Amino acid sequence: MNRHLRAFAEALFSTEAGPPPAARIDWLMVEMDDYLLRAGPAARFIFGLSLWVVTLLSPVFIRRLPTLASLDVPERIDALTRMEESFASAPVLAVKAFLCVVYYEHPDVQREVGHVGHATFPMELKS
Amino acid sequence: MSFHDGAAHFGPLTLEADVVIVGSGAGGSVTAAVLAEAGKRVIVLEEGRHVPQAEYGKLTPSQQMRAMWRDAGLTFAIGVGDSPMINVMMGKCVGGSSALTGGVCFRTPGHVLKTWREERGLPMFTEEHLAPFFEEVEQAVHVEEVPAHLRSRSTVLFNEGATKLGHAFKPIRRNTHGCEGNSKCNFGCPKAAKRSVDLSWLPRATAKGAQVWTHCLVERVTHQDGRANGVVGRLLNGDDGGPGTSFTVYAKRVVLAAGAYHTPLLAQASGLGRTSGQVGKNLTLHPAFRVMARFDEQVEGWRGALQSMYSDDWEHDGITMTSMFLPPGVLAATMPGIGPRHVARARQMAQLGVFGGMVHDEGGGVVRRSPGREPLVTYELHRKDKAAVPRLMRLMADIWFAAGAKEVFLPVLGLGGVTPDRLRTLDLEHVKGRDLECSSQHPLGTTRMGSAKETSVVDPYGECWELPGCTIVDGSVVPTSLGVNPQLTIMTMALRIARHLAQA
Ligand SMILES: Cc1cc2nc3c(=O)[nH]c(=O)nc-3n(C[C@H](O)[C@H](O)[C@H](O)COP(=O)(O)OP(=O)(O)OC[C@H]3O[C@@H](n4cnc5c(N)ncnc54)[C@H](O)[C@@H]3O)c2cc1C
Repeated sequence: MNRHLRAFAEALFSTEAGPPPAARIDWLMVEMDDYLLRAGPAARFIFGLSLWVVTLLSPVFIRRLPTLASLDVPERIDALTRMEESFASAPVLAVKAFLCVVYYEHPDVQREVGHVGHATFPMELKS
Repeated sequence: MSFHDGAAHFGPLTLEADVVIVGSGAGGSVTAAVLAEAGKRVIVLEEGRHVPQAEYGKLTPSQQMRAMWRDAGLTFAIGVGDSPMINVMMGKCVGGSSALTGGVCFRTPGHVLKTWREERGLPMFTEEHLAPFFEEVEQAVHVEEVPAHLRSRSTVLFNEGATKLGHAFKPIRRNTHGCEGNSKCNFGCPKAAKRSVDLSWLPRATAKGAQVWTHCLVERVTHQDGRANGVVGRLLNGDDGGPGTSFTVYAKRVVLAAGAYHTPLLAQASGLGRTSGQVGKNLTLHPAFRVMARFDEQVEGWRGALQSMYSDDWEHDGITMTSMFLPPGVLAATMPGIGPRHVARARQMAQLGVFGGMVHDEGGGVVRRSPGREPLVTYELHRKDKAAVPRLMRLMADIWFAAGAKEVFLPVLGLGGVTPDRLRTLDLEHVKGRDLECSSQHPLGTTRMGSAKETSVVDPYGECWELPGCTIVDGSVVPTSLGVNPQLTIMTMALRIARHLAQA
């Protein structure tokens, strides 16, 4: 799952200059693992299913196969954009929402978007 | 020591008390304080963890959701018929959902009490009867009006738009003391300004000897000779924090305060509800929708009180509007596009305003047991309530445009930004329920109070008709939807019941 989620995240948060720094995506993947662990089986199932559908279906929107992760980043952006604008947007929106909730808490990202509201203190969560 | 961690306890556990309370949220904590102060030996059992304010005040929103929200904020009611999937949020921690509130405080509206008296057979629920209880709660949690200087720019703009269109918005009251406007109420007030029950009622209970046991999952109420005599459950000391060894608490009185999603599960597991068939039914949610707007100016809506103004001008349409704000990730998630288009939009988040609207629903939800820990919850939006949604969206969009917004973001999946011209052409009245983005923070009514055991689960003092010695004091006893935020009603009903129990 991690590979496919990473492929989605790299595309979603790409700027004109390309995907965000690898270290930031590494951080995001660790945080997402932790989030999913605490999210409960039903939410994990819905998330996993959404990601699976996006991984397999989005390349079809640009007439490519087999998976999102097998495309290069500009192609992924194209595929996800088309799927987001289609009748099948729901799984894209679900994965995107989840990734955004965590990604925009990264201190560098907060600086980039000019958000200074919710202080970010990287803390270890206990058990 | 008053706090005990069930996850750190090895082997089975047996305790004894005068009163055992299941759940440390709004209802449970008030009851614990009153009964401990009346000299009873009180044990509070809480499934979640204890995150002290000094710790939760430092967490980011998503960290706090992972630590203190049930299923990290991802709990749902499945839409039935033409209804949306609703993200129903609740706390799982010491303080329960009270620790997550925006602090908004409303007394139960007079017209709602009238319904309780006239349609639910509860003649005692008059404003005069409840007034002293409300006053006591308001004092205990420090209810005060949000001063104008704490309003965020987002709220100021919305209010300006509303005023231009002739609508009146009023200041909200909240349970705060020393609020600095950090806009983080839902995610752990960094200044301990929000007087949630973990900082107000529960310390009163522990000061009088009440014990709070965390990581204790209660599974069932036990009874003997037709009377409740305790609870059994499991300590969350198993693998990965799952259920491990068993515990038993013997008590003369059992108080259920596990919230409107979990109290009915306990009631069902304990064999209640056979007479009325009402356990788990009548769930109301106050389905809530947010409308965002983009301005040319820097709004920085995170500066100021999270919630500070509201309007009940549309109560006759079943709509209440309240100011609110969202954490950065949620703001960004609603921005359309992937890659550079999305990032460019997200970088405009400082230009966004947010306002919320909720529907005073008729109720159509059912909580059922499922094979897992969490219930299976379904909810059917009543036709009248569904009709309120496009009205709410148009009203709020018009207000934002009157305030100078360039585009609005409606709670319709995949819709993107909407300009005034586009708004006029949109067929919002026929948006499918499943395409609506909807959330709820106010589940109520699943073991409702009433005057007859055939139609309700508890009597007017919260005692289960079918099980003497077992009392329910949380949001699940609220007889109907309120149309306003419920914490004050829940605390007041719990106080009234607890005083009654203290005298018994
Ligand atoms: C994000 C958010 C914002 C809100 N904002 C406002 C607001 O501004 N104003 C307002 O009036 N209301 C607000 N509310 C609603 C308000 O918080 C709730 O209505 C109120 O706290 C419900 O009280 P309760 O006692 O019914 O349940 P809760 O406060 O939810 O407490 C139930 C507790 O029981 C525990 N529990 C459940 N099952 C078990 C079990 N089997 N064993 C042991 N423990 C168990 C839970 O973990 C939980 O801690 C908000 C709610 C949320 C989630």
